[in-house]
Amino acid sequence: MAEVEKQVERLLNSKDFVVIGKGIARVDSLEAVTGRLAFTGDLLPSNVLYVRPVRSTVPHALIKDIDFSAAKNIPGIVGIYTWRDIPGINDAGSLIPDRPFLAVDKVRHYGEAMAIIAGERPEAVDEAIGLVRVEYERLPAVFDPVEAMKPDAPKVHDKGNICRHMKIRKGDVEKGFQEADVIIENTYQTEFIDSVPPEPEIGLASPDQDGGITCIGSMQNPFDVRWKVADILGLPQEKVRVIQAATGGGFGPKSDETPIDVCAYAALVAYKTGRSAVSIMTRDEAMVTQAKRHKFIIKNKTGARSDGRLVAWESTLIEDTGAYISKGHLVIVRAIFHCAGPYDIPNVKADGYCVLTNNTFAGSTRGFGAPQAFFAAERQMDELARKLGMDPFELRLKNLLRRGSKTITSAEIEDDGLAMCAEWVYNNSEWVRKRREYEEFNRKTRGPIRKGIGVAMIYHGNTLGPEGEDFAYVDVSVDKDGKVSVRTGLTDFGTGAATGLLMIVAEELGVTLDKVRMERPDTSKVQNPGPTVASRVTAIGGRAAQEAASKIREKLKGVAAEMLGCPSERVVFREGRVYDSENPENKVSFEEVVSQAYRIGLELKETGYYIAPPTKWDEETGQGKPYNQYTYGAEVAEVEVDVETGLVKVVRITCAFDVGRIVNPIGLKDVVHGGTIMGMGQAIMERFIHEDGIVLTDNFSTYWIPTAVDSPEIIYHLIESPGPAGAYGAKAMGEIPVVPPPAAISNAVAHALGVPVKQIPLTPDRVLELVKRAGET
Amino acid sequence: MSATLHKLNVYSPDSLHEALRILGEKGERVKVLAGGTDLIVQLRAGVVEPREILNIYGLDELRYIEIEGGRLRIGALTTYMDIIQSGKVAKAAPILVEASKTVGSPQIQSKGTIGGNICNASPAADSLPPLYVLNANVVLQSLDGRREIPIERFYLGYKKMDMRPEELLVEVNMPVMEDDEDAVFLKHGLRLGDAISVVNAALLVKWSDDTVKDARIALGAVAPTVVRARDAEESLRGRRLDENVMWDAAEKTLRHISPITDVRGTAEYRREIAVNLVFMGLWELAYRRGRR
Repeated sequence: MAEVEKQVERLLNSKDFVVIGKGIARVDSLEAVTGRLAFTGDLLPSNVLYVRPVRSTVPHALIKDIDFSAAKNIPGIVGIYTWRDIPGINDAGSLIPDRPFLAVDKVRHYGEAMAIIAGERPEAVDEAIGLVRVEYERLPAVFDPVEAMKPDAPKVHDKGNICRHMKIRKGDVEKGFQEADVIIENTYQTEFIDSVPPEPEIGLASPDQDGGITCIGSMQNPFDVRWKVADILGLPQEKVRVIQAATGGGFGPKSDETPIDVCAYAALVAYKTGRSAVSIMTRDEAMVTQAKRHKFIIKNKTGARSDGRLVAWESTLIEDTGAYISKGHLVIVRAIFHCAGPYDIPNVKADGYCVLTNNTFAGSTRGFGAPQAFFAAERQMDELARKLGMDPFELRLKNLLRRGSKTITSAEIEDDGLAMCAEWVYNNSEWVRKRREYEEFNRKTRGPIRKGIGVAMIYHGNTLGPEGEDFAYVDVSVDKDGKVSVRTGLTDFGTGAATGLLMIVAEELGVTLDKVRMERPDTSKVQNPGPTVASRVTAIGGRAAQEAASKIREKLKGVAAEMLGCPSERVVFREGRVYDSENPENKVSFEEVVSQAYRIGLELKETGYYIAPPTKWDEETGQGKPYNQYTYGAEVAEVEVDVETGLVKVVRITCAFDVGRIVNPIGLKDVVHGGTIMGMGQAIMERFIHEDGIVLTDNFSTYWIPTAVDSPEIIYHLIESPGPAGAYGAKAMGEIPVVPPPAAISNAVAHALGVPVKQIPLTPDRVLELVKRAGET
Repeated sequence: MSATLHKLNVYSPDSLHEALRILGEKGERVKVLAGGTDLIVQLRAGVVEPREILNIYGLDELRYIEIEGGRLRIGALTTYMDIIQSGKVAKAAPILVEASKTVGSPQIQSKGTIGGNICNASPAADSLPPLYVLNANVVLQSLDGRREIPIERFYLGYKKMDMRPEELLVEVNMPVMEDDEDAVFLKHGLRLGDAISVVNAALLVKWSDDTVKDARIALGAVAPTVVRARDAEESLRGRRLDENVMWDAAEKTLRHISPITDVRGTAEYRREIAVNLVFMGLWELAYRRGRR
């Protein structure tokens, strides 16, 4: 397309925004930095009971006996409860009911809750827990997902260990490989990762006067918590009220099952004793139990023509989901839909297996299987480039998904966002010059540093897609004074998503942002808006906010038209002023219009609802349209590898993302920076270790996440190629920056050392192994 | 998973004499708390048997940095931050400043004390290899009197020290570095900020023109205690530091270390890093010498 036409199209797509696209600091930032934001731990009543579970110290065993006799006698202990005391259903699985809330006769992983103890003081509870004697009968266990797939492997549950087999069948992969001039085959591996939200899980429960329970906690999904707490207590849903307090980080685990656990521990005690109760996880407890990022083993076989054109791709993905499925059956779907990178490939065959083991369970974590899939796919592309003797960036450009290309599910790509990202990064990273210079440096140097530069490209199917119904509710109301309240069960847990919703409401109502405020998510005040996962709030929630606000604006338009004496289609709402577009001097204030609306008895309260178009694909072949739109990204990483210590320093990340529409540039900057550093942790540092099922890395002294001094320089660029499903064309962005770094950084390290990288994280001991291998070749 | 601390008796004496009296009376039944950056964590994790606590953090008389009679004297409660900011230490033992800067985070540096670091006796403690190459002495005091022993003789084995139950470590002192001496500290952690040493090393060289007159090399986290690489030191004496001499000395380090495998690294990896760190340290010292 000619440059001019592109500009014209851009112009036609653009809209004159007043609030959207302006950089806004998060609306709760002042409260947060001055310590006024109320977290659950700030809200404890003085007579609250403290509750903690007794956890298993073995990974797989029958519980023969639990002796509470010594624990019971500790002064201050109020109650000890086991599965026998549960009035409702003993299950805490968030989607699949496979995880007992309290273990019955068997534990399937280290740290599984078997009983809960409540006391007047946390010290008494800790002491009592130390005195509980559990008699186990150890069972054969399995900790390796490949072993677990074998027919004679120990069974984690009653059925087999493979809980989902997902398939992609596109074209004829055998024929594709026959047409290939070059075929390469490699196996890649990633590790479990804990995303360590700064605030560990906490749940506070208090009995209501009418026999119900109110829970306040740190969470992403209040309605999931309400559903499970009510079921566990055997109460109707409306008897349980759940309020999300300010939440110190989510990253996925807070949408998963541990927020349910702590609220339910506290709620069961509140229900039994009639008193307020709180359950607060320690850091080690949170790290052992909260949902991990899945470990993956991925085998990729790739065929290409000698000119670099991809003709066939075959993948086998094995996902270790631990002892309970949690979201593992959905993570494998996202992983497989992204397993061949963002490329146009005519013949694809992929098989993905979600496998149970006796490790602690994995579930929802920012990126949801995509970082692992792209690590394997993008490393494979670099290995292919090496085999072909091509520049890895050129190889990618040759195969990129562009407008009209078909994905591995045969869905048609409708925009050129990826090519735009790739072009920007190619130019602004100075790829060609640096690639050459670093190779020359490495040839000549006599010092310990090797330099490398690597690239990765991604596309990320937007929002839930195959993972559930993609809908949202947002309520907007305007009070007599013209103050606007936004109410929804969608949550902000440090993401800045609430600010985005408020900006959208302010934009639609033509008011300034200080007039709009967000209420706390409260299940008694709103409908279930669907989960706050999959980077949904701005894109999908934003559509619902837009609808609610615009309904109110349309109502007010009629009132304003009469006040201004002009036709209602000429009424403009902008920055608190309401005027006649043909005579801007003929104006009233937003407050005056609202006041008049109240006088004539108009109700200014609307619910906005949006549901994304349903997505469809064939279960047997994976063919169809699993996502409504894609976010694109291209990223170049530059590293310095010390061949004497094995330390990798990520010097610079240059990246571009197509976000569809920039709603809040400051929010996006934070998302890009935080996500990039988090992704870097997965690439070079973070490694959650189970040794025969026992967790060895349950604290920050053994589990390393990047610090500020480890962080690279981050140069980023945002591209706006609007998508059809999100508010104003916005695409999902919350998770996306975490996806490319493992791929880009490991490609850079492979470039620096001249050897293939097949396993992350690239910890110093592994890097020294690679250095040795490089010396041998 | 975690032990309870609320039942522990805590004594907080107002004077050194009072502290020594309590220690004389209670002996092994009390555990001394200085900055608490290690002890509290260990008590909570159940690594250290909960006992009564003798909290000496209030004893300001143990916070000092002095140069006297050619020796640098540092009171046991002196924090890393005090050391980092001290002009006297920067002059008399700059390697100790270098090492203190790498300890944990600024929070830890402001709370943790040098006496606590010595008595915690972690083989990975960052202050210890410098104290070894500086030929430091520790001063132990009880109601019966004071005694002073070289730091190398103070450690008997993993977390085992030549310290009687009634004794308190009150000072560490060392000769002020000479003009012809130069020293370097190297730390290898698994990330750049707030890291625990996987291997650390201190190297001190006494120069005579461009030849090594004397050398001392100490390594941490590679044996139950910090160790001196005496064969390596010996091989350097009277030599100029060319690449072969440096690699040869670095390789000889292996004779003195016996690392273990843990979650931070394998024994093999630690051996490799130890050799590389000694080489890097010698290279740095030779480079600095050449630049002068």
